[in-house]
Amino acid sequence: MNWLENTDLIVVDPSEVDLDDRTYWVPSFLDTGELARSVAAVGVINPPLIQKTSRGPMVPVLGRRRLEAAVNLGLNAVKARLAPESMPEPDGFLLAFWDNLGHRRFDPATTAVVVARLMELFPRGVVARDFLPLLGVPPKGPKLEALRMVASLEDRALALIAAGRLHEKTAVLLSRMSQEDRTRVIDLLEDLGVNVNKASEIVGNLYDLSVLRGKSICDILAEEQALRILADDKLPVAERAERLRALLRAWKVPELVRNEEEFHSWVQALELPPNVSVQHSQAFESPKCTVEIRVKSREDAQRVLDKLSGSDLAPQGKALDK
Amino acid sequence: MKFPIHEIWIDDDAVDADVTRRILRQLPAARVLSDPEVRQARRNLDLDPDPLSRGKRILRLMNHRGAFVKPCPGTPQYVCCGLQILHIGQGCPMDCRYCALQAYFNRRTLEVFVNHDDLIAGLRTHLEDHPDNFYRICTGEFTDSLALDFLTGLAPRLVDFLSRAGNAILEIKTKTDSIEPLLDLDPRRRVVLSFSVNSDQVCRTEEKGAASLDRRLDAAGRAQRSGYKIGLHFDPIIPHPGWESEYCRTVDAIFRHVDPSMLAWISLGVIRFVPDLKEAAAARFRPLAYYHDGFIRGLDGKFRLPAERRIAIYRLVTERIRKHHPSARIYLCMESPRVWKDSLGLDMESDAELARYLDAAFC
Repeated sequence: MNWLENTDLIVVDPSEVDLDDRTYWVPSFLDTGELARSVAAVGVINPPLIQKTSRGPMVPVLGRRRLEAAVNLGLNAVKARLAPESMPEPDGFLLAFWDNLGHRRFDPATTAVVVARLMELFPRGVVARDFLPLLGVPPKGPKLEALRMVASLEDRALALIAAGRLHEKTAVLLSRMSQEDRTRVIDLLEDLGVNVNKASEIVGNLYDLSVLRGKSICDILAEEQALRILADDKLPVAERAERLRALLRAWKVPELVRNEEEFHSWVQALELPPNVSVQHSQAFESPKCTVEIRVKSREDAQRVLDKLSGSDLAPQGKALDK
Repeated sequence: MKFPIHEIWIDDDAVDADVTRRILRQLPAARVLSDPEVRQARRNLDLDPDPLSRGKRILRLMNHRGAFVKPCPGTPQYVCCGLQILHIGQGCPMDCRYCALQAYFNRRTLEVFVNHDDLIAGLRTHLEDHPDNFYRICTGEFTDSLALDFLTGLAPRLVDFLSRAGNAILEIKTKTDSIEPLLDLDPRRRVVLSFSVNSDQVCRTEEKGAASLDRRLDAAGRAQRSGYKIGLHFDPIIPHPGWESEYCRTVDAIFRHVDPSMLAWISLGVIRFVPDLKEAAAARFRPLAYYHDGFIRGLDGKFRLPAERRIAIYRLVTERIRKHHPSARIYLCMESPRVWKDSLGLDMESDAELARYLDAAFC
């Protein structure tokens, strides 16, 4: 049945619609400023669709943000279409789904919420056949579980994902944390304003340390060294973020950080000219080092190679024999 | 040990195989699906929240069309032993939480290759084509060598064939104690029955469905009395709290069961894994502390503990082994020459050197 053909046009006080209800929620994390200006200028042009429910208040089906804008503007009468109480939840959600899909591209957070809701309303096989291809989501159970975990996050975390500031994998880690830890981590990420990759590293290391040490992330961040960095208001935020990253890394892989420091000290003591550098192997897995000498021309390169050719460090190969 | 199989998927070209008939006779209660039904069943399996767990109850019977003998994937950045894998199937009915296969295959069922005649023919050709090479051939890389043998009956046939081969030995690698069908055969000292061993804690908590350490070692004792050489693989060694004493206890237990003169080799490998495995295991199990340890990215892109820690672990286990068996042929799986030198005191610079070191157990 097309429920849109079975609605009544009514006038409703938007504050009487339960805008926190998530029955038909297809989230949008976009700035609503323009919509608010539009509503302020000419009112709500397209009547939202709402449904009276048996449990009490009316709930939004389509046009949640229009109603929010109306509430924020203090409007107390908005034209709306009222869907019958008999409209089943799956049908109502599909109206919201198709309406949104028709005019915008879903961000990863919205996709997660939509997929999770579809899985609540329809069998997995139906979701996989009818909806996942439209959303660009592979029909794999573990992927769907990951999206469900992402969808379970608080709106603040979802907003970070929608803004491209949290990877899906990082969001899954957040979903595994206690609510207290998660709130602390989201606060931290918002305070530090780090990019998506640094956020991934910080969250990953905090989670690893928490599991390995059997301590909460709140407790780890309350350790003196961390507190000192986070509470240092004189430091620019970016510098605080870098120092926290370095601290967590030193806690996570102390041997590697110690080796890097020793190597760095050794290289510094060499007082190399600016065009020469020495690198260690990946994570010191091998004792080999790479010496890089940057020269201005092929002729200079040839001179360096000629000098080396007499020594026991001479590289082997035809090029040097010429 | 018999693992529960609820469904059998049969490829069209495997329907008439003797092995298929044998398996069907032994699993009369299993639901049998043929090709057209399998397509839908596979889609459903893919959509399962944990397809790996469900797939461990599904047996797919199929013919293998590619090469049966392949070099172990190993890794070019570290020293590898040059083992040859005899491809008998893939997937394992046990469910070790650290198992690399969780992130290795994209097919989730237990695949059993039923064209055993082709397998033996392929093996024969491989050995005859390279008569001057010596091969250590193992069936336990992509599956457990014996876990499904109660259905397939392949292992006795391989023992019979390879114990007579002039230029190869067979290594059967398992976490089961299902060795009974092999005990009446004559391995002619050309077959190594290898057992994956670990600390008792790891065996109990991380190796779901595997035989207990005691049962494995008891099986090793029985196997050696039937003339099998014994291999032992400490892999992965997991430095959990109390690991030092636990691994020493395992070493001590080994030498209560196994006669050192029957030991072919003991391998050691500290836990390492591709990054995807951490996520795959996290999705399937509660958080496991060892996945969250201080891993670095190794030369092969895998997560490994820093070399200093690996060396310390290898030294401790090696010293304990040498206390019981000073000349034990211990080797490291996928390690660097530096780690070899600093932990075992051996110069092991290349795959070829390691292969010679291990071949010497037989040549």
